[in-house]
Amino acid sequence: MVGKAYDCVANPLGAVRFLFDKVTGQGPIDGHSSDWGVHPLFSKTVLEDGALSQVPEINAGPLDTIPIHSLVRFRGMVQDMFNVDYYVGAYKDGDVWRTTKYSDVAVVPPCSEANMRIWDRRPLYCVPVPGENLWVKNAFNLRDSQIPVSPANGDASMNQKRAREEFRMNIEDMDTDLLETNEGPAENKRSCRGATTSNGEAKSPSLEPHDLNIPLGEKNLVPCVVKIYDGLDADLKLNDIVEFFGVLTFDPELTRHHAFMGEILDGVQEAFLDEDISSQLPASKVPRLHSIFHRKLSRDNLFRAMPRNAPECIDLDAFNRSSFAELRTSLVARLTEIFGGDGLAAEYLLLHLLSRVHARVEPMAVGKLSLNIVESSASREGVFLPATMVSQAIAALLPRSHLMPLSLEFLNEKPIAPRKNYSSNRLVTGDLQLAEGTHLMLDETALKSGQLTEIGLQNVQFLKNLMEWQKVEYDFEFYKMEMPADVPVLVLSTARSRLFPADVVLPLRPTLNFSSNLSPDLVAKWRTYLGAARAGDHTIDPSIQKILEEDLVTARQEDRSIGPEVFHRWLTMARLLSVSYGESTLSLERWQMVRELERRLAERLRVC
Amino acid sequence: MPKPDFKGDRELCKDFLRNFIADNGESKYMDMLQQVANRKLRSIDIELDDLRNFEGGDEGLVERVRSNARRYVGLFAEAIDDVLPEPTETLAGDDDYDILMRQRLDDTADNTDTSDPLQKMPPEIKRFFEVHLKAFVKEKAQALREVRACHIGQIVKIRGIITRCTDVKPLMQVAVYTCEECGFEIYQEVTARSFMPLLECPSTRCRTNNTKGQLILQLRASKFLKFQEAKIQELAEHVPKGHIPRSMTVNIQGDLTRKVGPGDMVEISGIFLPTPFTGFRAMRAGLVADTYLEAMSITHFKKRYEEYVLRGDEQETIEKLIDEGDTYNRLARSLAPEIFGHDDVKKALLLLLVGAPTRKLSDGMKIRGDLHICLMGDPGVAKSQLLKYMVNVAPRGVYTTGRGSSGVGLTAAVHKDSVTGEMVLEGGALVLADMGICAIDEFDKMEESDRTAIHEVMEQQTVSIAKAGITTSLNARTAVLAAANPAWGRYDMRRTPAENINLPSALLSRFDLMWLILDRADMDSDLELARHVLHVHQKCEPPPLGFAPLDASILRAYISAARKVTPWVPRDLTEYVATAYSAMRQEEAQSAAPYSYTTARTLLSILRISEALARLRFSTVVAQSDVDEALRLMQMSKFSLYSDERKKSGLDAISDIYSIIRDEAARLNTLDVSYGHALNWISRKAYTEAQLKECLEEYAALNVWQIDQSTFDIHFIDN
Repeated sequence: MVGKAYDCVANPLGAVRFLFDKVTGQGPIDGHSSDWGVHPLFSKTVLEDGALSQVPEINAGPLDTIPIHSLVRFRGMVQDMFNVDYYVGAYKDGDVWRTTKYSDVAVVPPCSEANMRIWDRRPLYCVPVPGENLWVKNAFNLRDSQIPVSPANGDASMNQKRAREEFRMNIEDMDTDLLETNEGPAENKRSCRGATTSNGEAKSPSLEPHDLNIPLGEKNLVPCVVKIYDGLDADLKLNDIVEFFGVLTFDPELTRHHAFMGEILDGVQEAFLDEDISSQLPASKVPRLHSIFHRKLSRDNLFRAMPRNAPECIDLDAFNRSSFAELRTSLVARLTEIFGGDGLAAEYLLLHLLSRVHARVEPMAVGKLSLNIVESSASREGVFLPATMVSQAIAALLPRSHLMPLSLEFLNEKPIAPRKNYSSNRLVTGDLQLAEGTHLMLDETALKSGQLTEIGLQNVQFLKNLMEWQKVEYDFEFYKMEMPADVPVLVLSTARSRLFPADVVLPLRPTLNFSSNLSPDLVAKWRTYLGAARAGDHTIDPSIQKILEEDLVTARQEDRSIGPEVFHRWLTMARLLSVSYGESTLSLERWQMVRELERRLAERLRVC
Repeated sequence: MPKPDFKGDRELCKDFLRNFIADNGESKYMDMLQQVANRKLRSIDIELDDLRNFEGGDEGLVERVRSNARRYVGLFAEAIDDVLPEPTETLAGDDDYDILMRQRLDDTADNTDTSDPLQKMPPEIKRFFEVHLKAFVKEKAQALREVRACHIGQIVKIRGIITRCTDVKPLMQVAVYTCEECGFEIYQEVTARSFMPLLECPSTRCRTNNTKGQLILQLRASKFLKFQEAKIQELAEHVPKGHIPRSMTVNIQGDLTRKVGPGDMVEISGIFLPTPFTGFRAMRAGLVADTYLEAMSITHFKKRYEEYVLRGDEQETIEKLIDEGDTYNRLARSLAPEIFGHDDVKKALLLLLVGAPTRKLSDGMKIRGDLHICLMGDPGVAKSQLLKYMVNVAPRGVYTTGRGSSGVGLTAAVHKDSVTGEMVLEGGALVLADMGICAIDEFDKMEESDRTAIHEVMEQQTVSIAKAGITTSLNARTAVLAAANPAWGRYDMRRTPAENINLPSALLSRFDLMWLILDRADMDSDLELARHVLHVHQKCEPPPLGFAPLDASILRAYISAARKVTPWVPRDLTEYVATAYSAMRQEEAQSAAPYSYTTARTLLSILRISEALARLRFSTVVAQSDVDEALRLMQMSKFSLYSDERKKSGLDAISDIYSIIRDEAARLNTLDVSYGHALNWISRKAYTEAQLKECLEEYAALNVWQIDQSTFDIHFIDN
């Protein structure tokens, strides 16, 4: 590389400018925005050359310590997609073309249309991943603390100095920030937490007028408006979890204008349909990120995407079949303890945790396995399995989970499916706007008899649809749109749930006390195990197909109540059982295990 | 880029306006301008199609107009100013405008100070017309998300749904001031939403005298424009999976205002423009530009079959379909292709979509053409999915459940308006589905009182209201598609059909087809099911259909084309229908526990289904084959019961076929039966051709009859 005329991390705009000048130097600029090699350069620097951990994450960290116009990363869920932004992307300043790409403010001298190019970019409203569990947050929030100081690092800090001069940053601030992060992860976490709470306190009084739409009522989290260029948003869908890398901008002056404008234009806004979204989301609360490149974090690459020094980042390739089986045994043993010695429940829970929608054959979602754990009062006097205990165990194992206590007040409060608000032109989120793979636990034991309002009834229907079809209907007032979801649902109830019919109904038979302490050394391994097993591929060999066919037909001939839904359940379980052992094809042994599990379950249901 | 020659283009525009001759030989635009001069017309629509035809293949001007539309609207307006003819009629009465104009003209004649640009009257103030450019008719409307930065300044055509719109407001186009000192009229053109009023008189006199004359805005003299702003949002079908619909601001001016309301589905062509920066926004100019669409024409979508206009390519597709043949089966199978099997049910549903023409007798009695179908079956046989699919494929469809809708929700309700206190009438699901389909799920779970309301809808196709002083009847010309479960959840074979079908006969007889879908235990279907489920899990996709299902849009186009046909029953077929009907009546009389109630309504049903079948063939005459198919469908609808019954009575298919043919031959008192007739008779009883062949061979071997080797005609051996 040419002696580094730029530094991607500390001064990304400088790098963009450099590349832009290089391209525009060669010829006139065309009507479309092009890449000028920015995207490949940054993704190479960050992902391949190991600069990842030098890029600060703005999810939890205090924003005020991060220099404006530096490269940052943000991990969030795409919650809303705004209308296209048109901006003057390039203009002629004298004889030289300049670009305003990846920045918010630029003083464009008044110039004729011929010397101006209007380009478009796409703003996305991203919120912190709903239901994300603490261990994932911590793993991603690790910064360069444990990275040995490399020459590249030194280079970076030098460039940072230059950046500081450019952006009027306080050098002392920066240095303390660097020092702090160098002290170690524990220190880092503490300082972050401190900062967020103080942030939260500062926010809460002024938060009311601006609905930030933070999901699941979580506080102290920072949403972010991400602007994407060059149509790179094409592969991004609603509710995707994405890690964006881009330029952090924040312009207090702009906010002031908005505040000023807001006052005098209040009347005008009534008369005209002038909904300026940025005025609803003040930059002081919602940072702006101009994304240079991004990567999707699906559940398959979540562990790989973590910074290398995270404890969860275990080399997946080291996993082999025997270690799979070993981890499976230890995990089932652990789950058995949680359920007070009920091994069958543990097996089913494991399969449930591994389930995901791996295909959609309209209108069916293939691969889902919702579970209804029934703890009838008859099973043991007065000792109930606390829902929080199960949810804690799940939270420790899965990256994202949420416990929804189904009280009447909750159901009647507000719609849990997202809906469009046309007066603010934004999507109002609901508790069911969840990223794929988020585990949802419904605690029906919290439900008391009483009256459901219209909203409550609707909410019950939403949950039912989610369980049955894995779809959530978003209300756009003039029409409804079904959004596919992939949310495994676990229902905890005292009797077989009639409101929420699950694929598997499992009466709990505890023999011991419930206990929930997870051994921390194994937890990290279990997480990786679950992640790897879930991602596992699976096929049904034609050789075994014949046997299955006959088996299914005989079962149906013997018992007419066995319908297509039971067939689907068995085959789904067969798949999950196989992947739980790290096997990629269904063997007869696993099939018989499924039938055995189902037999034991049926026996239990009969007694009930 | 060569510098555009606007002056030259203006001449071209003039030339076009003067000399364009439409297909019918009239000079379209000059006629239009004459009307404008006579104040009969306010808006001039210049069609790009005309412009292209006029130039005769040279796309130069058209392309320039299309891509720089705003500018050329101005050019056309200027051109019209020049070529506008004198009014041929005397204008009735002077209004304020004319008086002002005359005065102004007098003023300018007197005034020598015309060099002052601000005192020159802007052309806008003289105009009482609007120029609209109309996009190419053939051009397909774009999805909203396809409109990008590169479309700025161009004419675009989009489809969408209006989500919000403002009241119509006056928008100042030219502000007119008078100066207190010099008395001159000063004009200020306003191009944006807001403007900075002039404070000091800029006239030469005031400036040289340095009097700083105060200006007073003259509202009566200023020119205002009707202005409305609306938000348009993408249609659900344009939104890719997992995305949020986008929206766009539309500015509507002049005559185009008040054409849309929230919820309207419209096609708008207009110019995609950035908003001029004003006020505080100008401070951050260069940053972000707001964009809007300046509407040039607005058309509402057709939501009914009757108004559906076929596009050229659709016409071709339909013709191709007809050429390929077997349209009836292919169309039927393309309904809900992901639902496995149920071929005959789908055929019936296709006929429900097509319907028969409504007959109006000379004495004013109406005979409905809409087909009503009730699907009854065990749980889990995909009834609800079929219903939902049908609602989606029909241009107008309403889905409701029997339990979720009270009688009011289904028919109509009288409400007291909370603001005015007046009684207002609000249509329910059946009224909303007028000229469409109303799908009612869980029909059996409906309250008894609600069901009675449906009686009227199903036969008279109206909803009568006598509530709160309002007596009226609303149209509900809808095809009812109902789904119900048998009385005990599952069909109980040990009970009679009447007990299982837990609906009053008055209601039942109103359904043209009552379809029983039973989940019966047999090895084949179980194996089929097992294979299906296995395939889904193995390949993660539905098993191949063995055919390419037709697109819903093609289906819709075909059906709407078919609905335009009005078939009639030829005289020689009436006898045939009559005998078939009497046979059905007889059969019912013999049977101990009838499945249905054969009444005169059944006769009408047969005719309706036959007519729908004729429509599908685009034939104006009902053929015998149509009647046979209608009878077959009626028979098939009870098939799952029927075959069971037959097993009980000990008759196998082959001997049953024999007895049918024998009875029919005896009835007609003949020994010769043609193969075609035999096939018709047995297919009415839901047997297949293969079974017929088998029967023919078997009984020929027994020397009961002789079979013609080439035609398969039957000759009974007389003994």
